[in-house]
Amino acid sequence: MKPVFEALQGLWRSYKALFHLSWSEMLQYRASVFLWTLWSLAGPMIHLSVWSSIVAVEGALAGYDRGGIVAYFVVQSVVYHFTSAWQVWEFSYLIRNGTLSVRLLKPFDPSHHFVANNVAFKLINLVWLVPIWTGMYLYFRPEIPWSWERVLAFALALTWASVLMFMWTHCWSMLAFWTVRASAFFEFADALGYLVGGGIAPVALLPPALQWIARFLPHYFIAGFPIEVGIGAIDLAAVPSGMIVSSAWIAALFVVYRKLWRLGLKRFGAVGA
Amino acid sequence: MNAEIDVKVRELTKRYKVPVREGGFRASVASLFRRQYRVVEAVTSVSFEIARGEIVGFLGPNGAGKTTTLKMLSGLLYPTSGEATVLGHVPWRREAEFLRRMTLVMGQKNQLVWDIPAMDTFLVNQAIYRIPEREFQATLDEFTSLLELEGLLQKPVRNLSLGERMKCELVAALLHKPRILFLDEPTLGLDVTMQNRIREFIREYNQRYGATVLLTSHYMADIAALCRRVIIIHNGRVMFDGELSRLVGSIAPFKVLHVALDDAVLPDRLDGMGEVISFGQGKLSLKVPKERTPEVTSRLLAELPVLDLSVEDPPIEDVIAQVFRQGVGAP
Repeated sequence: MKPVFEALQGLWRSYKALFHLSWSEMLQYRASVFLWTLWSLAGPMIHLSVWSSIVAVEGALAGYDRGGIVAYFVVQSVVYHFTSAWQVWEFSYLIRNGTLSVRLLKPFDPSHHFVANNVAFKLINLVWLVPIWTGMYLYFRPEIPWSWERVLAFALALTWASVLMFMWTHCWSMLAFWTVRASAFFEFADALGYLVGGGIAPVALLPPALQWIARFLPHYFIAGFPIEVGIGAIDLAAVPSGMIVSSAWIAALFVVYRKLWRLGLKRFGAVGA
Repeated sequence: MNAEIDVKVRELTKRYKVPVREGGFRASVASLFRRQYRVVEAVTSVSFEIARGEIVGFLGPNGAGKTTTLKMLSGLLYPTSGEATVLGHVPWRREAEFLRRMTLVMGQKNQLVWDIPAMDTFLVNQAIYRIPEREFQATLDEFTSLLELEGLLQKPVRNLSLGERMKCELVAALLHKPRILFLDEPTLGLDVTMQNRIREFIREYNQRYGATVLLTSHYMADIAALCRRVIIIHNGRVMFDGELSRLVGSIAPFKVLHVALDDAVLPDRLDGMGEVISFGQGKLSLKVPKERTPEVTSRLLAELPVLDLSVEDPPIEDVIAQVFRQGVGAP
């Protein structure tokens, strides 16, 4: 038991040091970090205005009236922040400029750097995002059924979605061992996922057949599912089954990542170093 | 004597498959349909051993296979064939215990984060290598004093000079006190004073901690100052493995005599003394076969108005250059 505790303690210390490192770096570039964060709100706000106009003319669509649409995209802005992951670009860069070699020399899996950086970015940006989200809530008055059970279910679904998006991106990052343009493949796959996973519209607005497929794909559990849990579009009783499918995706992607990582390392040419 | 061996390398080979194509648009389009590859053998059946505490110079021209070998020994690259153990570990298995006890310093590669002080990177390394606070402080103090780092650790790395950065890179790479150091051009681009300081630091580290060092450098002063033994690699193959003095002796069996003269001397008075390297303005340099050195020295002193005379080995740069040009006998 003691070695496990010591290992966890060591891991926590490493994460703490990496958080400090990431935050120090981000504070050096606070303006650009702020602008990136602000830009991440643009998508949900554009969708909100487009779909609000459509619903105002057409009436409720698949159960989403104006209040529902507003709730969907306000919550989406929160979900987007927590499910962002960018290591596919960073990983290619690290391979090209040789920094991956430097990290591989240490007794610490380089993936931890990406996890720590991802979490650090999401936490530090809460400083300005929480006031912005509060302002959006007060301004748009979205119809969200509040209850502690729902808040807990949303927090869980959001955490799972964040992990799932990280793993999804991480798997695509591994392609950088084979091609310097791994991000192009990722962007294509991610754009498809975005379309059907609840990114530009609630999944309920898709054609029935596509909807049925979409509800099993990872992007639904990254975007649509946590949003629907948050706004009450999914009954609380149905949340555990969604979490099980989401967990299965996380586990599957983890296995794929480990396999690609091992194969990639064998192929690694340590270029740039 | 049966010294403990830290590095064992047997028939290590690394081949790369690299895409090739002619220049121009047509070749670019053609390569979309039929990619052509060429197999490059970066390292070929390299074998050697390094005993604990040795400092070995690993020499060769650019593209000889030095860095590829170091990358295999530090676990960054899988070899195509062959075997190696470093501190009893197979490097490319990348076991945590192995990684904790070694380091690879690449003169052209940074681990320090550019925009923040070096100290922040040191703290991450402290956590990753699990260095207790007291030991961390003691090591940091020791390195700060040896490398004269006072005042540098709190500056953003981007504001440090190349030499200052290299010193901080060394500290970052050695904070966990590795038992084995792979140093790839650690003095690259540094001025002479900084090169000397880095050299002294490497020597001091080797002596204090009994660390084993495999060093590549294009500055022969590094090699001459630190390494008794050198391994020369060319076109991926080991050409020489032995004492630096033996290399000089076998490749360059001559001495260089530097003479300061009191008066003008006619060139014909130098006939039969050896090969004149330079002559003029009261100075003479002669290349003389080793076995004739005593005789020529006596003649010079007896026949010429000599003010000063010194006998030296040929510059190591010249010897190494000669090895690359003509090779040496079997290692």
